[in-house]
Amino acid sequence: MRIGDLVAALVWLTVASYVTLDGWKMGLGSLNDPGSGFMFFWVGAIMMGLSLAALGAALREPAGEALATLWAGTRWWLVPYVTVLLALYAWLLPTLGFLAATMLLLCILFKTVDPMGWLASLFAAVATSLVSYVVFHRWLGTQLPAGQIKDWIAPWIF
Amino acid sequence: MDLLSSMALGLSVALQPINLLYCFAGVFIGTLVGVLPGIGPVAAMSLLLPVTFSAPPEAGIIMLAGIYYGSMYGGSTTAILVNIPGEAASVVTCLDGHQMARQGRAGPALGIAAMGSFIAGTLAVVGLMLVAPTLARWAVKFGPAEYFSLMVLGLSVLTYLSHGPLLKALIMACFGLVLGLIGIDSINAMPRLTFDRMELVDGVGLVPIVMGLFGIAEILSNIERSISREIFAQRITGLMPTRRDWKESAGPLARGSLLGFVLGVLPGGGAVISSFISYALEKRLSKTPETFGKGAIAGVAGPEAANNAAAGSGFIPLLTLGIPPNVVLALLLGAFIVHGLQPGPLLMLQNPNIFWGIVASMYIGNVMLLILNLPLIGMWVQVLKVPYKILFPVIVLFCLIGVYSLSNSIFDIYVMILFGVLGYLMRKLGYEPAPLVLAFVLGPMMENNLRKALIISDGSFWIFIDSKLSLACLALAALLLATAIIPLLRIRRTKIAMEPG
Repeated sequence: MRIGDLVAALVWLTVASYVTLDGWKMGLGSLNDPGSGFMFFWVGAIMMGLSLAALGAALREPAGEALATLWAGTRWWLVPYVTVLLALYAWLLPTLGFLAATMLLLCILFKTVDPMGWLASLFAAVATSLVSYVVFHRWLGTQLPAGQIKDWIAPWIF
Repeated sequence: MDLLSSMALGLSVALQPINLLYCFAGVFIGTLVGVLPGIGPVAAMSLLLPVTFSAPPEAGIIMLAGIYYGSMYGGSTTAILVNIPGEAASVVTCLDGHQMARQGRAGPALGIAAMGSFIAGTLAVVGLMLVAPTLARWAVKFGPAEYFSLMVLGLSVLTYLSHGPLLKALIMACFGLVLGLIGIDSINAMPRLTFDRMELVDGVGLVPIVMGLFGIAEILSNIERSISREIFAQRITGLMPTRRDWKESAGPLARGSLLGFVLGVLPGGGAVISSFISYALEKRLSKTPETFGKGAIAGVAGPEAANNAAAGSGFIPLLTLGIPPNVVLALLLGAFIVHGLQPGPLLMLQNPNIFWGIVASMYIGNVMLLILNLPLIGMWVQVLKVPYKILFPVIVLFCLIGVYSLSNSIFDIYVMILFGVLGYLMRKLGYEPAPLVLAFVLGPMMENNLRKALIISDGSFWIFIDSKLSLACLALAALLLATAIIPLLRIRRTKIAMEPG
């Protein structure tokens, strides 16, 4: 875990330094009238101290195994894959609308992570999307994006 | 208003048809998410928070509270039948509950878990009813210094009890505080760490962070390893424990209820730690400690009573001080605020119908849970048979809908994904998300109280020492954190450290 701890401590140290500096820039005010940056500065400073301590602790650890061992024997590639799919979903949601975007996302997830057959994936995706649309949008009144597909299709139909 | 008339008021609120319906929905969904591994009360409450917008505040809060204590009931079913805890608080139930199931005693195990949960849950509500008014009257006298110190103590205890190194938990708490302070400064309206994004002016949302850290991160962790579940295949009969079972369980139930109630009130304490301590206590007190881990019913009764009592008593600091003792109740605090209510000492005076309505609904909810759990065991077993490859895309979808619908913001979905990846990496590297979330919720309140206290005292830190309560809280917090540098105490902490609820 040494390398993992080292990397993490360095990341937190960077974050803490940024927060401390930003707190300073915002203004600390005075003790009888603390400014906007007062809390940021001191929390950032404490976090810097803790990150430095974590860095020191990681450096004192024996070299240990490589960072990659954390993912040994796992299907690690699924993590970035699903993350990218979710980000794409968020990007497409306003355009495609809830129903189309959700069917697409679910179909890909059903088909590619622990794969099911095409027909089963398609059926599960369509059924889940429709049921969730009816339950959340129609029954519970949740606002879900309609998308622009209707606007694109309308001129072709009418 | 005396206790009886308060309770009558509460019952008149809780027994309204709409509140009964929301209470039923809450405990049903709570049981369901407790049964299903991979989705917990935090994710379920986040998902359903927008649904409560159109409901009266008391109905919404009753439902969300029902999800919380309902999940404690449901968690034991998975633990006993599949040996996978549906909830962190049911980890200990796996030890003896699953062994009982393997010996053909799944029925009594499920029965004692449900009835023990009912008894402890009801006792906790009685305790809440008796303790909360006194504490609220006392809390009215608290000033900013006392509140600040109480929050420091709560955060310190949670950090202390977190799984893994204290340094990492403290870093998480600091990061949570920073995240909580993003947005417009409430005192002088200055934007802070908003990176010129309009979406960040009001701060980062609690729900996207919680859904990311607990929902998406859990899914990412689960999909990288193949999950296989060995579901108990035999027909479950004889849910009623025998007279001997009751005799063996009576002591553990009583002790578990008391222990859970006390630990649930403490900031940072909660259902998980109380169930572990109850198990350890019962094993120590037992005349046959060697039977623990091999199907001892006391090993199911004690921890189940403890986690349900803690779930009930956790409402005391939230409702009387406005300080959530754990992550789930931090989310409930968010729900109160969304509904225009401020939990704290004045809630009981300004909104007695809501306060007592919630308390009364917990009695009713516990009865509903008992009815739901025993006859519907067969249905919960069927739910458990749904393969994870079908379950996880549905959970992802729930997370997406829950986050989007809160403020109709695509930006919130990106925040959730970001925190999902962060939560996944944090798990890999041994960082606990619970201190982050509690610090995120407490951050703005802590800053507000700190600044107010300093303004009142004209910049003197003596205000935190002048008050006995404030001094005691800060001293206790300092003592706990000192364990990070005192090796002997650090070893003791490692022994009792566990994942907080």
